[in-house]
Amino acid sequence: MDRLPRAPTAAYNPPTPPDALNRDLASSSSDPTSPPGTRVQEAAGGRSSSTFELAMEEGLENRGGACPQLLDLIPNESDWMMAPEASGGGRGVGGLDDSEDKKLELRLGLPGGGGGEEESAVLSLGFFSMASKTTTAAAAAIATCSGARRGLFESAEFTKSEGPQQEQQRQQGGFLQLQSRAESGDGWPHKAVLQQSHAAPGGAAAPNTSSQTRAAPAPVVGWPPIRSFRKNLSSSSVKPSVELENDNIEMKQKFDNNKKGLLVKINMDGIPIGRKVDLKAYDNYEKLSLAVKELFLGLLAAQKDTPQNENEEAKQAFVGLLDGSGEYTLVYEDNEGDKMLVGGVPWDVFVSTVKRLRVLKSSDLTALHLGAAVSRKRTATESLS
Amino acid sequence: MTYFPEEVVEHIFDFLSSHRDRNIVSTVCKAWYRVERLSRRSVFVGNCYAVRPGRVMARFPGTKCLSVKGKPHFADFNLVPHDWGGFALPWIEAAARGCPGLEELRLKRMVVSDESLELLARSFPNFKALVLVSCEGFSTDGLAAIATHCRGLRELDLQENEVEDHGRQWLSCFPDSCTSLESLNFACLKGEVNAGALERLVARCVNLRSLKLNRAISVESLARILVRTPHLVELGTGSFTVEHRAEAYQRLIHAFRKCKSLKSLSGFWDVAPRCLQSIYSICPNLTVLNLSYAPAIQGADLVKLIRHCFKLQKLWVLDCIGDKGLAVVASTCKELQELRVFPSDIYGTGTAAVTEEGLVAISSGCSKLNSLLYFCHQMTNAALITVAKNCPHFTRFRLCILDPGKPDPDTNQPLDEGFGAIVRSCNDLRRLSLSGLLTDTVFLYIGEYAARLEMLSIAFAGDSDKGMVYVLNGCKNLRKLEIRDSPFGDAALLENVGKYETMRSLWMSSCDVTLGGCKALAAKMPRLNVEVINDRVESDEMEENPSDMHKVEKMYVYRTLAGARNDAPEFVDIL
Repeated sequence: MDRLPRAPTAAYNPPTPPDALNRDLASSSSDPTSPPGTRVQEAAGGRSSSTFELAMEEGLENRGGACPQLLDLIPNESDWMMAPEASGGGRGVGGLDDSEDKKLELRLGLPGGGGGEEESAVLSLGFFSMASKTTTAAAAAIATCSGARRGLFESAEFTKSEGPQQEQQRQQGGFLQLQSRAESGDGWPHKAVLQQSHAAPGGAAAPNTSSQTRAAPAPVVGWPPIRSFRKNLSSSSVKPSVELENDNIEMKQKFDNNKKGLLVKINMDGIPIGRKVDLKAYDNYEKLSLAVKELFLGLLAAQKDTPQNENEEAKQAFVGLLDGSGEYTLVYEDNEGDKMLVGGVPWDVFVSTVKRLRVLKSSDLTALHLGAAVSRKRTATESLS
Repeated sequence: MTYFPEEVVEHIFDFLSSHRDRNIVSTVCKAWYRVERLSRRSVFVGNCYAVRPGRVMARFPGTKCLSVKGKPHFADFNLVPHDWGGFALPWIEAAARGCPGLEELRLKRMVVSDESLELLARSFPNFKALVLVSCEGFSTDGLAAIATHCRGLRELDLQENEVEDHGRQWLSCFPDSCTSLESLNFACLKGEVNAGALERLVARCVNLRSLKLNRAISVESLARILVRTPHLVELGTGSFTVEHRAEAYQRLIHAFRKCKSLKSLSGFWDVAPRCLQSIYSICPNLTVLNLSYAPAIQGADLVKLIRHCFKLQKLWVLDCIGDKGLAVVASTCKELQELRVFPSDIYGTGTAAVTEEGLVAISSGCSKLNSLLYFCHQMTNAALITVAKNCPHFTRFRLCILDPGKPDPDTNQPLDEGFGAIVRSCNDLRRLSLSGLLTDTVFLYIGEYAARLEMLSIAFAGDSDKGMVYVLNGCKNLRKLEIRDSPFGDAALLENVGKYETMRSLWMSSCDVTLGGCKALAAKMPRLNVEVINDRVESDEMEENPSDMHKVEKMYVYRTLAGARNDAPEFVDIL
């Protein structure tokens, strides 16, 4: 992987996100901090806004510890050492030469100074002795240092998979821009911070005076010292200030129900491995029943000892799934935790309340304390079929 | 004192509850050692690698309560690699062999496998309480084993653990005959739980006083539960997502009114501000309130709530409470002893949340304050000096200025004087965490004044080795010292090597300590384990024998009777 072109096209492969990142991405998907392009960009050369720059702006507007989470999210995150600055040179962000290091290092220092030379308060993001992983991850780190990180990852993914040249160019542009800004001689954080003060905050929060004097902190591993689960809180909760409370709940529900696909787990008695089924793919119980058969037929057949008749026997098992007449019965657990026979309610009601499915041995039905529900549902099913 | 019959001595020892006191009396003479060890019921092991499990069980065969801690504190912030160690299994195995009468097990920052939980569940017929804090390595299968086999279980308390959801209906595994639960906390579980089984469980456990639900529990379920548990003292709500006009919400309010014993509330994930009104009736009785999982509640709503909470002793909030909100806390909560203010919007673009003003307000209103964890964007010396004057009773003072190395914004000075005032004024200070721009001077103050200090956390601070030396030479009660990203090197490390045997542990990461320094320390002090934790990627790339000049990225030193541990992963070198 070549390091020289600071353009992230080669370097900018978002690292495979571990679960934590997926969770964050998913959870923040319903709540982007601000739509891209709302910032006025006064980048050197006045280039058009890009999500990357947006990210930079937001990142710089950050107070405090920026985004340690970012580094946390990268695989082998424990490998992210903030090695002391002293050893200079080496591979910096985007694969910089030694001579550029000084200018392009992210530094923490007294506000107003271009980072200063104090040892004690200086961290360098540009300091990794790792190879390609570093450059991509570092590029990712710089690029996504903010609440818009998700937006950026998305556009990066988008870029990768669809490859619209423009998108790539802009990202490149953004990154290059970062370099050129710094090259103009000021310490990077400083200049960018000043820039922020010119930029109309748009969707951002009200600027506070201290943002101008604060030196933009580099993302640091394990800083601020809070547990990981606390870092995700904001992004995964519903923000009430903008919408009415009613809307919140409704939107949330709509979002939950209208997502592409409604995957629920389904387990079958006697088969240790469960499956998942997308209920959106079906529009009635018959189709669901068929799908269940398809899912488990192979597994069930594999478990039976008799090789000759296995398929026939196995297929037979799935007859009468819905009406309690077969060897197995399909039941589900609803959103109140109750176990119900499948088929008792209209299909869309079922879809909106089902949480899990289970293929039970019919002989076990009573053991489940389905109680009155059983007879009621049975009658309902009969009347429907 | 040998003319006292042993029973009398033992009876006297019964009055000694603190581990330290018992440790001390056991060193008086052989007779006392014997009496003490046979009568000790509660054993605390602060570092699981300081002593072998078998040795503990052999010395204290009557152990009923065992507490063990594993990983160093900085593991909470992902500074310790995932498979560093801290396994619970050897402890459970040893207890199963040596102390089958075990009733309580408390583990913190340890790796607990499902296998260990299963062994635990089957090995101790009188087992009553399991408390797991910040642990990992287990799943709901392990919990199912506990639920199934621990007859007479009174307490299952899972705090901030990483638990894999295997979807087992673990809660349903509590048999119908289980009626003994007094405390159940599964707030950290991510998966769903069978609500019906939960409701039935709490209904039959009439002594249940503490219940903390996870986010998957709906408001409807909560309302049903509360109706069955009107004597609850501590409650952690579930998701609290509800439409305030919904019937469920009305039922909830009604249920809350019935719970006259509620003193502690937490949870509130996803709560919409309006729904907070449902707890107004309980607020006047609350002593503990944890709203730190509820970023949706902004300052004004928090304030409305807190105005009702005048008995509050412990408050955990997010910094969206703002300085103004803290002023309200100061004027309302005169009994406040512990305050934690967590950062809410680390990556976002929120407004400045809390500053030194909020802290000063709190200090002037809440004179009983003794424990503080405060994340803020800036702090001034003047503020800290005022706080020190107003609140001389701090035992725990942890200040985290989010911007590492940030000076006093008014004067551009380091915060040495401010923290100096704190240690001078608070004679009982046991735990201190520093942040902001700090020179060696602050350590001079700490070494000189913080006589009772037991735990010190340092990050991005100091100018030279002198800083660390001041602390090592000064704080005679120091037990745990953890340092990151500070310019302390071999000279500081080796200045007072005897000190480390009086401490539990020392952690240094991203400092200037070299491999040679670590080796020297290990050579001089054979009863210390000097662990060098290597960067995994580096160790692939580095030459086989890095030079002694090579700076060590992470070092963990601890006293031990057990010698080098045999479960260390390959990226850990024990020198």
